[in-house]
Amino acid sequence: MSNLKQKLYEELALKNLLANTGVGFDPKIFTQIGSSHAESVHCLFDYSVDEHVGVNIPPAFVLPHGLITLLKADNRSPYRLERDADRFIITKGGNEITEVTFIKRPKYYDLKTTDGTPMKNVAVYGSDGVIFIAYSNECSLKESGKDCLFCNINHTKATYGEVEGINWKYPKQIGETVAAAYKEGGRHLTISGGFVPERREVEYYLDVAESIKEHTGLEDFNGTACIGAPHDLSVISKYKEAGYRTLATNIEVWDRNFFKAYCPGKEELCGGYDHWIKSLKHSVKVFGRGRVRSNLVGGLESKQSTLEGLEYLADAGVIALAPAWNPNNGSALEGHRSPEAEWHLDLAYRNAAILQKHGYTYEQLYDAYANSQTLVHDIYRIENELLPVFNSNEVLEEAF
Amino acid sequence: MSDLKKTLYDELKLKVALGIEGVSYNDQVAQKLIDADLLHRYEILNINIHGKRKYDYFPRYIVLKHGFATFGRSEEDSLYEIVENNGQFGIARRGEYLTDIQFAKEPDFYYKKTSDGTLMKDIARDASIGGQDKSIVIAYSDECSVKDKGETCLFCTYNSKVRREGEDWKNRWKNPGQIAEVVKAAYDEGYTHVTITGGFVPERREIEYYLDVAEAIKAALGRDDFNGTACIGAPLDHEVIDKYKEAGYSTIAFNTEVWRKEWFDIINPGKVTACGGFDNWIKAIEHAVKVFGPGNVRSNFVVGLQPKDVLFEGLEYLASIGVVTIASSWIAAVGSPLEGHRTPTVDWHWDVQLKHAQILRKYGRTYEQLFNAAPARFTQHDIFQIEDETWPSFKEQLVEANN
Repeated sequence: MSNLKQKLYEELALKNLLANTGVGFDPKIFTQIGSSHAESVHCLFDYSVDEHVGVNIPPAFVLPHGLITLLKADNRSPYRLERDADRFIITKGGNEITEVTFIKRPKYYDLKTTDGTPMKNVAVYGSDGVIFIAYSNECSLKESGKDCLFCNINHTKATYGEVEGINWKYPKQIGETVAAAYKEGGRHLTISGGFVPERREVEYYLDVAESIKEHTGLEDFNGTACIGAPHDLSVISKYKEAGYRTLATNIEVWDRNFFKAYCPGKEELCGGYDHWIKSLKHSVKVFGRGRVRSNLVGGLESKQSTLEGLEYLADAGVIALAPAWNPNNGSALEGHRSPEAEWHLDLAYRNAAILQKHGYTYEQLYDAYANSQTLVHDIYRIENELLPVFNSNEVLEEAF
Repeated sequence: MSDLKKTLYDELKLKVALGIEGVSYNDQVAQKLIDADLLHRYEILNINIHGKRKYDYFPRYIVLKHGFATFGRSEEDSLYEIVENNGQFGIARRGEYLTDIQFAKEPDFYYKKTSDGTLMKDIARDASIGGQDKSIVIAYSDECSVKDKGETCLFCTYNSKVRREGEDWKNRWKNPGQIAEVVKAAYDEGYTHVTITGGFVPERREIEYYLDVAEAIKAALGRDDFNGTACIGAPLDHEVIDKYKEAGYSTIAFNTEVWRKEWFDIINPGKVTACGGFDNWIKAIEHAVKVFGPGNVRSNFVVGLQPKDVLFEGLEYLASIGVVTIASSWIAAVGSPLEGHRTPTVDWHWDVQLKHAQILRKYGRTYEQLFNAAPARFTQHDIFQIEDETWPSFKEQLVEANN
C-alpha cells in the first residue's frame, strides 16, 4: 500500500471517530460560515446533540487529505473544533489532532427562485456536485405516531423550520434551483422527504422531473427518487419514464422484526417487510442492477444481521450501504448511543467488500446515494485513487 | 428534598454513571491497586469487560463516600478515572476530583471450600453490591443450550467465545450438594437471600434440578424457608410453576428483558423457541403472580435496548399486576452478539431509574420485596432506601445530631 493510501486510511479512521463522537465548539469562531463557506441548512434531519437555532455553523469539515466529515455538535465530546488565528483545528485535551477546512459556499446559495424563495432552502449542497432536495420537511406518519424510531424530521422542522424559512417545495422552485446548481457544476440530485398524506407522491415526483428537465434542458438529470415502497409496483416504471436515473427505497433494517419495531409506519403503509423486498426486486428489473438503492441504518441491529442484509441486497442488484446511525434529538431513540467508532469502521470495510465483490462501481454508488461522503464512498475513492489528492498535493475544497 | 437526600441522589447518579461509562486507571494507579491487593479477576455473572480491553483485572466493586457501590468496568476512554493520593483512592472526571472511594472486601465464604474441594467462590457470587442486606447468586451452569441453534439472547455473553478462551474457564456445573454447602456458609455469615439461575438446560429439564437444589438447601439450613428465588424460563405448562412454590422457593423470576412481541422476538430468539414466545411468557408471569402472590415474582428488563416509551409500557403493565420489575442497565458486553454497540447516555438511564422506582412505588412494592425478588442490588434498591430513609447515612446523621 502506498504511503498516501495509508495516510488516507488513517484519516478515514479519524473521520469516522469524529463523526461518531461529535465535536464541541464555540459557534463564534465561525465568522466566515454563511458568507465564503457553506452553512448548515436544516431541510430534513439534524444530527447535532447541541442545537444551534439561528446560528450559522458548517455542515461538515474537510480533513487534510480531503475526506469530509459531518459536523455533529456535541459539547460533551472530548474533541473540540477550535480556531487558531486563521487556522481551524481539532483538539483533544488541549492537544492539536489535525487541521481542518470547510466547504466553500456555492454561488446559488445567494440566489432566489422567481417566487422569491432562497435557493439554499430548496436544494442543499453536499459536496462533489451532489445536491439534496427534501420536498417537505415533515412526515405524515407523525399524526399516527408511526414515525421511524430513528428519525427526527418532524423535530427538525419544529426546531429550525420557521427560523430558517424552510417550507414545502414546488416543482418550479426545484427546477429553477437545480438549473442554477447544475450550471455551477452540480451533477447529481436526490428528491426525498417524509411520507405525503395518502401516499400521493408519484404525481409530485413526475411533475418535479418535468420541471427539472424543462429548466436544465437535460433529459437525463442524474436524479434519484427516494420513495416508500408503493403498493402498486407498476408505479415504479413511471419514475423511470419520468427521467429518474435511480430509485431509492430505504429498508433501514434487515431483520423483519426490527423493521416492524423501528419502522412502524413503513410496515403499515407500504405492505410490510416482504412487500418492501418485493418492491426493491421489481425496481431492479425496471432500473437495472446498481441503479436501485436501499439504505440500512448502521448500528440499529446486530452487525451479523446488517451484513446479511447488505449481502442479500447486493446480490439482488441493489446498492445498499449502512452509514452510522446517529441517535438524533427528537427521535424516539434520543439519548441512545450508536455503536463504537471501530464497530462502524469495520462494518464499512465489510460493506465495501460486499459491493466490490458484486461488481458495483464508484459511479453507481455516486449516482444512487444522496451524499457522496459515506465511509464506503471514501474506501472506493481511496482504492481506485479517485480523490483529488491523488492528482495533486493540494486538497480541493472548492464547492464544485 | 433534604440536603442529605440530595447528596445521596447525587452520589447515586455517579454510581449509575460509573456503571455506564466505566472507569479508567493508569499503570501507576494499577500498580498501587496491586500493592494494596485490590486487583482481582473481574467477576460478574454474564458481563465481561467492555471497552478497549486494556485491563483484564479490576478491583472488586467500588464503594462511594456514602456507601453506594457499583461493579466497576474498565473503559480506557472513560471520562471517569481512578486516581490515588497518599494511599487514598478516588474518582476524578476530566481531571476534577469528585470523591473518595473504597473497595469492597470479599466475603469470608469466598475463601472456603465445599466438602468435594471446590472453591465456594466458584459456586456462588456475592450480589450485595454495597447493601447491608446480603444476597448471593448461583448460576448452576456456565452455558446456555440455546447456543446450539444460534439463538443466544443478543445482550448475553453466556455462550461467548471470549468467555471460553478465558484462561481459567471451565464449564462448572454445580450440583445440589455443593450449592447447599455454600448457601449454608454464606447464610452463617449473614446472607439472607439466594437466587438460583443459569442458562437454559437442554430439553428444558430444569425443574427436577431446581427441586433437588431446594431440598438440599433446606436440609443444610435445617429450615423450610430459605428465601430463595428460582430464575427460570417460562414453562409451556404453567402448572409447573406451582411446584417451585411447593419446593420452598419464596420468589420466582422470569426475565422478560424487553417489552412487546416484536422486540422480544428480536432480542430473545432462544426464549421464543424454547418458551412459547412473548405471549406465553407474559401468561406464565401472570400465573406466577397468582401462585406466589404480588411482590414475589420478578421480571428483569435489559434497559437501553428499546425506546423508553415501549420500556415504560412493559414496566408499568408488569408492576401493575404485582411483579417486581428490575431495570438493569444494558452494557454491550464483549462476546455478546451486540458487542461494539453502546448503551444510552447516563442521563437517559438516570431518567429511567427514577421513573421506574416511581412505578414500583405506585403499585405498592416495598424495599423488602425488591430485596427478596432481585438477583442483586440495583439502583431501584438504593432509591427505595433513600426515600424510606433507611440507608445508613440517615442513621449516621441522626447520631451526629444527637452528639
